[in-house]
Amino acid sequence: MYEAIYMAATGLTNQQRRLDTIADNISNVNTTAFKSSRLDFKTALYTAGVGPTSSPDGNLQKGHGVMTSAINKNYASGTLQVTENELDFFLDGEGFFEIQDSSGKLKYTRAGNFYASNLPGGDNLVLVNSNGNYVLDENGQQIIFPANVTSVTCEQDGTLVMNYPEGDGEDGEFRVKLGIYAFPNQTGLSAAGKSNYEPTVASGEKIAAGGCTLVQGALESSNVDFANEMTRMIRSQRAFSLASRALTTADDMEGIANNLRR
Amino acid sequence: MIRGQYAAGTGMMTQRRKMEVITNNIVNAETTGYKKEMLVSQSFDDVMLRKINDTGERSREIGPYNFGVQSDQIYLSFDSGSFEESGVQTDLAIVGDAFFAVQTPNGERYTRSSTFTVDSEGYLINPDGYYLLGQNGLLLVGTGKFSIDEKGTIALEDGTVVDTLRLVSFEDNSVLRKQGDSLYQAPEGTALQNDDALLKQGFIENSNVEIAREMVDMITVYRCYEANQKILTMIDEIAGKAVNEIGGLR
Repeated sequence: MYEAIYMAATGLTNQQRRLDTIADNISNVNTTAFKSSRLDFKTALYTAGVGPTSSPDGNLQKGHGVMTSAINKNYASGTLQVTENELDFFLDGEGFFEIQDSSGKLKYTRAGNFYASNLPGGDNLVLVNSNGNYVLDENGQQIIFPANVTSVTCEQDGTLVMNYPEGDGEDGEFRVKLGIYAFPNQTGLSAAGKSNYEPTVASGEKIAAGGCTLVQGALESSNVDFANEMTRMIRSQRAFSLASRALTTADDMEGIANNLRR
Repeated sequence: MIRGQYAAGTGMMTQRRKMEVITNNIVNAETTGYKKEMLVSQSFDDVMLRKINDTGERSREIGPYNFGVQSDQIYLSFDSGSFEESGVQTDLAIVGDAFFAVQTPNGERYTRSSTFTVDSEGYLINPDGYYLLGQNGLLLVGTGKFSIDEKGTIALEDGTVVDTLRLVSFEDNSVLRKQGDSLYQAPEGTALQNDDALLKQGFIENSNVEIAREMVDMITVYRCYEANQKILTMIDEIAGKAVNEIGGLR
């Protein structure tokens, strides 16, 4: 069959995929610490054709459409939004909070909207994120608040300082350092949904985050550039309709060939 | 008469090939660094028609004639595409007639594709995992920020110079063959060091496909194909008349 039809179809499929990526970006424009993705294209396979009389040096490499090259996340930091909430944290620099989901699996996130939740079967409060996953400290342990905490402050290196009355009028101080990690190749991280990321072979093992400071009372906004996404959406839409026009034309040409003998 | 039918057939075949090339341009209009292709067609070699069994000296040769058209070669236009700022430090675009060199298992390949990334060991790679090459081989940029100046010199955040990108150009770009994955292959020894091209970090080079041009070409191809089909049908009808009506008694 006529290859132009299949080639046009690769254009449709891949532009559709890019539109999906753009839609994901646009719908997450207000998601805390969301990182925008970008889909890049590459050419598909080329095959060599030989003309009947053309010289062997002549170029008759025929393309076969377009392919998705990669969908890469842009890990540039979003802007800081002040919330003045004691348990909202903004990570300034390359780094991720370590969290543990209900099945015990370790995940990483930049969304620092944390909450205090009741530890099942106990009176103590534990630090969780918006999905109810435990936020872990530098030793991979859950962060359990001392009883009757009055205030939580943080230091730049990620240490939480919790004050509580000790009963004799003195204030006790409980210090715990949040587990904050970076990855050799963060573009290799796999997005696990719910603003979480999982390490992969491409991302490498977690390493201590250097040069990353913690800011209390603020959250990271998404880094989606709305104008950019809209422009890209229009371009993708045009490319999609062009590919479909090419498909229709190729199909009409098939019709013409088919009507050679009536 | 039958000669004309065959010539019209070759016309249809060539227009189909042209349509394939145009479709490839259209679907790659959003592919970074894509260079547009044009199919150049040529007529078959001319032959001289002669009268046979003609005793007259003057009119033995009727004139040249050829039997149709064929695809000659695909011409690649290496004009620069437009540049789009992305702000991503691993997006690199070349201003000028040069290519990036990447190391593949089958040897060195060249590309104009602008999107690169860093692997888990800190080497610069293209999206297919092939290493981007510098003057002294692989480029280890590590995990942090790095900057690349206009001459392609890569420096880390602390000022350490890693290497200079290997930008190559060719005396004649027609030796380049596309091989998929946005890579080009060139014969051994034809890649020359390029010192004139400028490098832009944080930019993406778009394809150099002009959509309006492709649409016009597509319309031309479609109509030309249609015309060839009309001629073919017409000749067929004439042949049909000759076969069925000449000598028929009504």
